Amino acid sequence: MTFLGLSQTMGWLLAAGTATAILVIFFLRIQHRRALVSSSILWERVLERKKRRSLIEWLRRLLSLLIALAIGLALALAFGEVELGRAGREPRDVRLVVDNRPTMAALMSDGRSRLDHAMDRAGELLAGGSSADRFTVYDAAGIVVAAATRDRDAVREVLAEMRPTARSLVLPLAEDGSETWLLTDGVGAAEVPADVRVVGLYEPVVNAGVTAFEIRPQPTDPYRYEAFLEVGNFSIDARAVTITLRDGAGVQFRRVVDLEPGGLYRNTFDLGPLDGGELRAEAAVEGDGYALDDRAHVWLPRTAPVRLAYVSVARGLESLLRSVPHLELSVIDPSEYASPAAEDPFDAYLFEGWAPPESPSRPVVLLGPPPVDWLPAHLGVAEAVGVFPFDTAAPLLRHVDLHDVAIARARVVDPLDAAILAGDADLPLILSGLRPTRWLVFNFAIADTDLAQSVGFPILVSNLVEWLRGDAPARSVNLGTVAIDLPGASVRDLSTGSAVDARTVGGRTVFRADAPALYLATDGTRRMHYAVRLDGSERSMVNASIFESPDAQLESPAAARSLWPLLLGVAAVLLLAEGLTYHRRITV
Amino acid sequence: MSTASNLSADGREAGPFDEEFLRKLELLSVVSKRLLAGQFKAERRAKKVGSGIEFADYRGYVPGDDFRAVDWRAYMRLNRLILRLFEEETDLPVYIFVDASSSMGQRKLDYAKRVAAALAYVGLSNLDKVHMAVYADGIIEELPAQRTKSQIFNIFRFLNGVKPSHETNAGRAFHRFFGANRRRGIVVVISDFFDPHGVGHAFDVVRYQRQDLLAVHVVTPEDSVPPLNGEVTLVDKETDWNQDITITPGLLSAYEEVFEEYCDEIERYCTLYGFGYMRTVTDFPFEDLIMQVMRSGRFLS
Repeated sequence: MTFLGLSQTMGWLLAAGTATAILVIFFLRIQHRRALVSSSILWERVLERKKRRSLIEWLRRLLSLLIALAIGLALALAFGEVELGRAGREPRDVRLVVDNRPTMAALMSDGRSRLDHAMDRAGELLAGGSSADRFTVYDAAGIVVAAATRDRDAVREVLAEMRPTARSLVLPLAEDGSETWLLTDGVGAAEVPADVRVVGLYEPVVNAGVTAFEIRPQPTDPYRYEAFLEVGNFSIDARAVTITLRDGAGVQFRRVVDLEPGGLYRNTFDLGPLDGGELRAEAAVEGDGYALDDRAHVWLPRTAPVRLAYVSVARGLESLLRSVPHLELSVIDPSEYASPAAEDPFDAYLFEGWAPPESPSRPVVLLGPPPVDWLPAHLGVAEAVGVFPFDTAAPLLRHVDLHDVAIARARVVDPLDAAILAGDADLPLILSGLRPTRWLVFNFAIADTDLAQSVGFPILVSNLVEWLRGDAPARSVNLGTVAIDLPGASVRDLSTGSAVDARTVGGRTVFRADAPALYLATDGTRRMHYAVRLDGSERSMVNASIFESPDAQLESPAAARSLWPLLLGVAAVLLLAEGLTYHRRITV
Repeated sequence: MSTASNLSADGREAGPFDEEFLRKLELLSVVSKRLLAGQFKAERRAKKVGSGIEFADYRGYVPGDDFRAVDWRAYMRLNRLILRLFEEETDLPVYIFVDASSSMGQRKLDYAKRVAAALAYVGLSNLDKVHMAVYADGIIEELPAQRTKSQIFNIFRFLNGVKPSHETNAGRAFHRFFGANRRRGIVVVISDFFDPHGVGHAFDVVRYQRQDLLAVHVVTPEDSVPPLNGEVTLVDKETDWNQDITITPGLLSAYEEVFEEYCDEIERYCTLYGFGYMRTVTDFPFEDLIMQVMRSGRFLS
């Protein structure tokens, strides 16, 4: 082994020299003399004073003091929730108007809707504001959905619940000391006050939509319908639009038309061959970014003649019923009535002065029936019934006046849960129910009244036939919160078949519909169809914005940033530095 | 000065106190009597109901009081029983404490013994009761009250056997001593006052006992100006504390500054509460110190 090229002898000499040098240095080290002192008290004070007066110690103490001051300052500022850009500024009263009209559902280039982007921008405004700022959120209709609050989380929750269903854009009235932000796509927002800060969320979108889809009876035959369909191209360039009309059996019509921007396709379809049910019109275009107007629904009432079995001994209504159009009447004597088998040949039954022991499976009307188990329990007989109340809104009594009708003799029954259309709970004269089948009972015989002599009697019979048919065109309602005149009704989405959450408010059933669909509402006695669709005035406006490009209308929100997390972090780092450098004496 | 045991001229044991010392004591006794004459009687006065002749104060009669002290004239005027108070002449005890902790060392302890013995002799000469106690971290030894000049030799013997030892805790010592329900008097503490538990704390004990205090601060020249330089290891005489240190002129200067501040602290305390304070160096003739004490009026006043 060699070391630095030295020979073995030289190596040993080097080692010996090194050892000698170490020994010499060891013995030459400073020797301290022992000196007895009376007390260490004074010397400790001297050493402490010397330490305090040394420059390094002075600097160290100064550094420690500065760090302590910085920690205190950081903590004070953190607990005071100091914010950047807030100095000397009063808390703001910020009003956020979020445009939640249907056009805000249009998709932007990133696949997210204008409303989603509005939520993002609202979130930026919330995050950018001072913690002392108060926020009030309005929807497009000018309704306060979040009252003035500093609770940003509550505001965010409200924003997340907003849907594109508002009908119009109404800005809140200006208030002194408040600033208003409007987050909108600019559709139909031509008159925005100058003091309102606008955050624009518009991008042109490809869109073709159904602007009109209605059915109506043909003039020559009230039981034969035709449909009017209008489809438009609302993109900013020409598009090939696929138009489809389908019912439950499948596609009935399909056509691809080239439409210029703003171009419309209109057509009228004879629906005579169709016998009731849902009809749906669809407009499709490649890259369509606005789905709310892509389809529309209608409900086509049943058009085939009603097959009515009139079971009566007296047959007093036979001639009148035979005059009713679209009615195939079969008159049956009660003695010949037999409970229908599985294939019931009739669509409905009318029993006069008689009732079968068991309910038919079809809708049934009973005029002055005797007591039977499946009808409300018989309690007695009332004589000479005079004026009685009646429900003029009921379809059965539409355009029928019963004020002057006198009834010589009427049955008294227990109505239970049946709907009373005429009379009252003590003396229900006309009532209806759904169990075990859809039934309508007149608790008096036609012969015991002067009803047949009243002018409204033929209308009543016509309404009766319509009631037995049990169908009517769907009523059109707008997207959003739907209120219908059927209190306590249950609502079902026919597109999906699922029940809809509905509640009764102020005598009306209210439910929410965020997309075009066909709904069926039933309240025990009535069934109504509701076609939810965009309001006609909103269908072609998706690209009618006051903004020309997406970049021109963006305005940055306030820049105030909450600094307390940063300050707490700084305080923690300084505390750590203080602990390590001073108390652990790393610096000494 | 020799600290060997010697006998006095009359053959009694004089302890560390030689003939020279005894002669100085006699001289001090005479001088002190001369100093005190015309100013004070040999006894001190205490204000209390007693058989003295000098009126002091009135106070209301309470059951159990001597009817002879009732001021009947005042009763005639005021229809209230009022007692006349007279100053009763009584002697006050003198408590002399000698610090015998390790910090004192033989030199300061010998000096303290002489001062203690001299003050005791002066006290006995003036017919006072003199209590003597030696303390360190507690009362090491206590001599019962001596009343006559001839008992000075008891004090010599008592002091003669004292050696420096133990740490200093004057507060504990005073607390234990005065815990025995002592009469009010004058307390003389002879010490270097290097007390790690605080001199103020010890004096507080005396103050709370409502005793008068005379602090005699004994230092050596080395205490005020240590003869040190270079690399030394300082070792505390009382504790295990030691410190390697480089003694520089600047450091020595700082020490002297601290020493003066320390002495000033003690003096300020005494001044604040009306106590007497005298600082002396062991080189200073003890008889001159006694004369200074006499002149200051703090002792036997």
